[in-house]
Amino acid sequence: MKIGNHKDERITYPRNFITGMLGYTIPKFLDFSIRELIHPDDIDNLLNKIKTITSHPGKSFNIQLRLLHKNGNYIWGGVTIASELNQNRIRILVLNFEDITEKIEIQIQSKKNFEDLENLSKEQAALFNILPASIVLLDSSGKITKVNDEWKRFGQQNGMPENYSYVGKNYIEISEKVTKTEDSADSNMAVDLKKILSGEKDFFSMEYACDSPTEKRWYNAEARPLTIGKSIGAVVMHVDITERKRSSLQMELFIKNTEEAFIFVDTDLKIVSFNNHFHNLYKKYFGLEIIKGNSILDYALQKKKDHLIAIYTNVLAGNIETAEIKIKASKTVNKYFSLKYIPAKDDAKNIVGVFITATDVTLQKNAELQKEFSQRDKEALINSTEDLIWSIDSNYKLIAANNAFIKNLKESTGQTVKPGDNLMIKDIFPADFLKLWKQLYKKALMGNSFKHELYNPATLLHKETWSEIRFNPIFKNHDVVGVACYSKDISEDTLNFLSMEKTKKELNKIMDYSLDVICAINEDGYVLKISAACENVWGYTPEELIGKKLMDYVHPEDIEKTMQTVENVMAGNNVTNFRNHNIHKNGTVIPLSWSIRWDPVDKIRYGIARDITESKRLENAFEIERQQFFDLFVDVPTSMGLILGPEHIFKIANPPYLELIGKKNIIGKSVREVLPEIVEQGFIDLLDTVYRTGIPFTATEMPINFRDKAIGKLKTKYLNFLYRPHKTNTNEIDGILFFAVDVTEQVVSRKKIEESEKSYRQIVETAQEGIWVTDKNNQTIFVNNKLCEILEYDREEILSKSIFEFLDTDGKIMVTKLLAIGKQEKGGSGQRHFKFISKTGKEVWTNVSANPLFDEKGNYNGSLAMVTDISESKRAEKNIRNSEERQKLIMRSALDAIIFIDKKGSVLFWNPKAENIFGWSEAEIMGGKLSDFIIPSHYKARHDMGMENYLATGKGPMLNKLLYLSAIKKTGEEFPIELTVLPISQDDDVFFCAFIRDITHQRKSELERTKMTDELIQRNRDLEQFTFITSHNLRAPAANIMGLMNFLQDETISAAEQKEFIAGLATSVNQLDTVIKDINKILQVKRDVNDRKEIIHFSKLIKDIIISQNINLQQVKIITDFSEIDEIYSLKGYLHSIFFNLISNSIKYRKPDISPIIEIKSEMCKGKINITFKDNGIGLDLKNHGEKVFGLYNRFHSHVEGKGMGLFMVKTQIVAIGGKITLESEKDIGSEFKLEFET
Amino acid sequence: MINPTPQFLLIDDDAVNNFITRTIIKKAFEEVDIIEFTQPELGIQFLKNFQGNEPILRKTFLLLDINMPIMTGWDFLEKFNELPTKHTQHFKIYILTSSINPNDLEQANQNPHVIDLIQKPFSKSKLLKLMRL
Repeated sequence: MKIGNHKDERITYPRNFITGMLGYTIPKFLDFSIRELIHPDDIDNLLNKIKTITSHPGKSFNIQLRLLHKNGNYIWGGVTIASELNQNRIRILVLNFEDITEKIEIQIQSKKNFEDLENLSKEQAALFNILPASIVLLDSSGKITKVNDEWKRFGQQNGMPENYSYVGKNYIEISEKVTKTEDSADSNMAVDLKKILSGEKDFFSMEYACDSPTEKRWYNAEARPLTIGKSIGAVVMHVDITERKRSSLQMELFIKNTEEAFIFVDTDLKIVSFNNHFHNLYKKYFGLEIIKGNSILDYALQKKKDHLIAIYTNVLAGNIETAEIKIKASKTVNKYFSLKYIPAKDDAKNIVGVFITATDVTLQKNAELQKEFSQRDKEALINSTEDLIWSIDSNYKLIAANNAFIKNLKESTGQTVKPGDNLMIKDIFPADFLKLWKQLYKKALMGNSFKHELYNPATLLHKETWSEIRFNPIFKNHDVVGVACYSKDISEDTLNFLSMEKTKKELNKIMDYSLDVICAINEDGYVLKISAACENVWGYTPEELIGKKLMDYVHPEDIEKTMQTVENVMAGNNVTNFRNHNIHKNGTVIPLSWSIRWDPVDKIRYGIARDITESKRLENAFEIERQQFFDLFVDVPTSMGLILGPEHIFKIANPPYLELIGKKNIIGKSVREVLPEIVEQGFIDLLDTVYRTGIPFTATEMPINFRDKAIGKLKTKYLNFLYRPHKTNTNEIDGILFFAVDVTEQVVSRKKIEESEKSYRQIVETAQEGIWVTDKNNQTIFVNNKLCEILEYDREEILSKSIFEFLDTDGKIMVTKLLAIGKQEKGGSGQRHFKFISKTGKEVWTNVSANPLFDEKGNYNGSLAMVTDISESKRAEKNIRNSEERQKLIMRSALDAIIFIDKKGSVLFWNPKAENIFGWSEAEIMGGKLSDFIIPSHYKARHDMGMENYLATGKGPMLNKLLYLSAIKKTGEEFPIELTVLPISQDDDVFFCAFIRDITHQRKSELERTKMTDELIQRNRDLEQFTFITSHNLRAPAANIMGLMNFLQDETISAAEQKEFIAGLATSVNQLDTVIKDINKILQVKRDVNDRKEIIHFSKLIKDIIISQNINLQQVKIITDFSEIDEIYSLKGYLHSIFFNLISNSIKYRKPDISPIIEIKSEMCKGKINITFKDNGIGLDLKNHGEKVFGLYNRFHSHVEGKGMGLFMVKTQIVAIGGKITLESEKDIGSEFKLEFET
Repeated sequence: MINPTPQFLLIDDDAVNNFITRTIIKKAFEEVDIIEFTQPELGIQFLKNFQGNEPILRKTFLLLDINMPIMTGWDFLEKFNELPTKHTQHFKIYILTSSINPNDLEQANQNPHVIDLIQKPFSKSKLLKLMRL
């Protein structure tokens, strides 16, 4: 819309969008001033903007204003205002409108929601503001939308300005900021608030301390989501819980500081809480740590448990129970506690546990005991103690004494005293002893009451003792009339004390001698005590460090890590090998390794620090070196060691040595002791000599007999060894180093070889076979006696002569050949018969078994022949062999395969025909298991069973019979055979002889014959069927014609009827004609096959059919894929007919509502061409019509024209050119024809 | 009450043959009911619907062709056999065919429903023979 820049802002051009939006037509619109269309409240805003634009050309605005619709309603519009471009003087403004009514409505709704909330709050402002809690409302981003008066008051108290506006500040951000500066309470607030605003949480509360400037305060904060319209906000409420918190803290304080020990257990008797007093009590007297959650019964003595359970049960039933326990605090001191079990109840008076108080009543108890004491017979009581109690008068005369005193005195002095006796007995006690006692008594008689500790040195009768004696003056009318004494043996306490003192001193000593720094540090990090080694580490004396913070000496970079470790230690975790760096007095950095532990009772950290600068490096180096030496010593394959002194005491021996001698723990023992068996063998003498003279001794392959513990006999070992004198620094011999290598194995095996060589030579010489060894040039290098005998030559006459000189002509040729083979093939050997010529010219038949000899490098080095004279046997054999040979020859030339197997199934004989049939050569199969070669897996079990059965029972139903089975060729091919198996017994042994004939060919021709017959029968049937069908189809119209003719002849008929009859006649005659033509066409097929074949391209064929049949490709979709093969050598006319029929079939039987899609694809498969025709037509139920599909005059659909000829022709033509056709089809889905042609 | 009017049911896909047969029957009776189907499946449907249509159930001559597309005369007889006896008992079935296949004659003889096989074309003498039987 354009408006002119006049005072009245008239519209010069509206787009029809804006007129439509406001319900006007364009001409009508041109009369308006823009003012008339804008809501009165928005006009000023618009005019302001227009003014700005006119004064600042090029500026533009985007504002929202209400536009008046023709119907009187206002519509919210978004307006972009700009001046018309290319104008020198701005006269025209352009306003672009868009309807934003909906957008604005949402905004208004949302605003209204907040306003409603506002209003609601106004109505309830009083309530909101008088709530004793600080409340803040947050919007979805966490911004404060409202706070109540209490909030503001709280803010003021905490130093916020009186008129501070909280609204609009982001509470979450504030919480986050506070966290960074103060404690972590608010961090949870921020995190949880975010969760509430994102809907993850819908409530949280927490307690936190927030002290005002004047007092300690606690608050509880709660937050809940607050849904305003569609957005989620939150309400946060802070409640002052200082009162509650303070009283609970006071309670806690009270509990902690009370004299009474408390423990509270729940109804399951699990410990819920207790005060320090109780904790310390248990720890002190029972050494047990009370832990929350444990059962209180775990802390009771086993025998008391039932009693305790009864008490608790009673208390849990609502009764109060009391008990008193006695605890032995030390040997002489008993502590008494009064226990009170009170049922603990909650506000609803339910019993929730048992509250137990323990009060120390020792004083009361003691007072009670005292009372008891006076009430009882004092004497009896006094006498029952082991402490000594007595009293004297001012003249040191005994007034009274308990039995213990009298007994003690008698034991130490031999005197029995009685009341009235003077205790200052001069002859019995030493003078100084009496002097001391007199002084003590006098002091007491002066009216003093005191304690004295007395040391009694050990005498023959008793050990040293310590006693503590109390002296109390006995007053009578304010005068001292005597002294009451009470002596207690404190020997044990004193000894304990002394030994503790001693230990302490030693510890201090250790501390100060220790190279490690040992220190004690209090809770706040100040050094309480530190050992003298600190001076080495830090350069400061202990005096300088005590009272200082050790942390001040830690390297700044390690302070944080050290602080963390200290915290960890104080949490109760002992730390070892914690490493940090410290600053030495001289400024250098010292790495320290610390072990620290925390004593929670005394609140002291004990630390041991080690300077790891130097030690570390040295230690490592030393350790590595030591290990290397040790490894060398242990792993060296040589036995070695050191013996010292004239007695040859083992000082060192390595594992190989121990293994050699088969002993352990020999160090410190003498050689004589460890190996007594070698004394007689002279080795001690040898050692003595070396020790005496200092001349080393070496031995090679020295036999030594060691006693073998396992067999208890001496066993010879051969050693190469060396004894070497070992000398001290002053070059004196103090021992012998020995090194030994066990060469027993080598020596023994060499000896064996020597032995066997010797025996071989014997064998060779006494052998019944001639032995002939030649070198690589066939020169004789060795012959034995027997060979000389055979050839009638002397040894010397044969040696160094060529082997050829002794052979006949044939032999020479044969040997030349064999040698050529033998030289190449390592291990090639053979056995042949040769004729040699003897010295006397005799022909000597020999059996020669020759082996080539090779040197270490594998080169031919000559040969070794074993020669046996077989002249005699050769002659005798010849006769036998002739008949055997003959038989074999017959079998070999047999036309059947002849196979012999033994009873294990191994092949003994395999004639050439068998080779020919099965493909396995005689060499391959001889000795092998027949079943592994030629028997098919499905016969194997039967074969094995048959053999077994025959061998076990002598019965073989399959034997001696002509069998028709199959066998396997080497190629894996299975083929039919004719087989007869005969068992043959010979010399108690049985073997089987099989005659086998390959009947593959017979079988094949048989099968072919059967197939041909079957085909003939089928053809005949087809032909018969064809005849019936054609006759029916010929007869039907013929019968009709006959029927109609009868009428025309016999009946009087109306003109109308006549017309009908003639029409019927015409139809029938036409039918007849069609059938005759069809038959002609079908019969034609048989003749056409002989027509000329040509190459036909499928793609072109389809194209031709589409064009000639005028197929509309808009209505019929034909998808072809002849990418794999596109041609066939065949009869063009047939192929055209086949393709045409199948395509038109698919079109004819399409679904009425879907346009037909025909997919035609060709593929090569196993040398054949497969073509598929697939359509989306109505398909066919093959279950009912399967066989008839390709029949003549068979039809399956009545709604479509057709005479049932198409598919019959297709099939006939395909068969005629040697192809096949099959159909897969499903009703209502479609059909797929598969064609297969020979290439 | 027995309706004396004879009733014929013709089932043959050959319209010309039906015309001939119908004409011959019409001319032989003063009053006759002829029902005709060129699709045997419709004929079976018709017979099934006899239920509750009792007046139509009376002695009926059924002349049935064998060679028909979709459903042959033999298929028809199989379906016919499934109908209740109280329906089928009224039908006298004759095969009317142009087939000279001995198999068809054999099959007709073996089917209990089929009374006889008549060679096309139908004629007055064949109708008389059929009525007498």
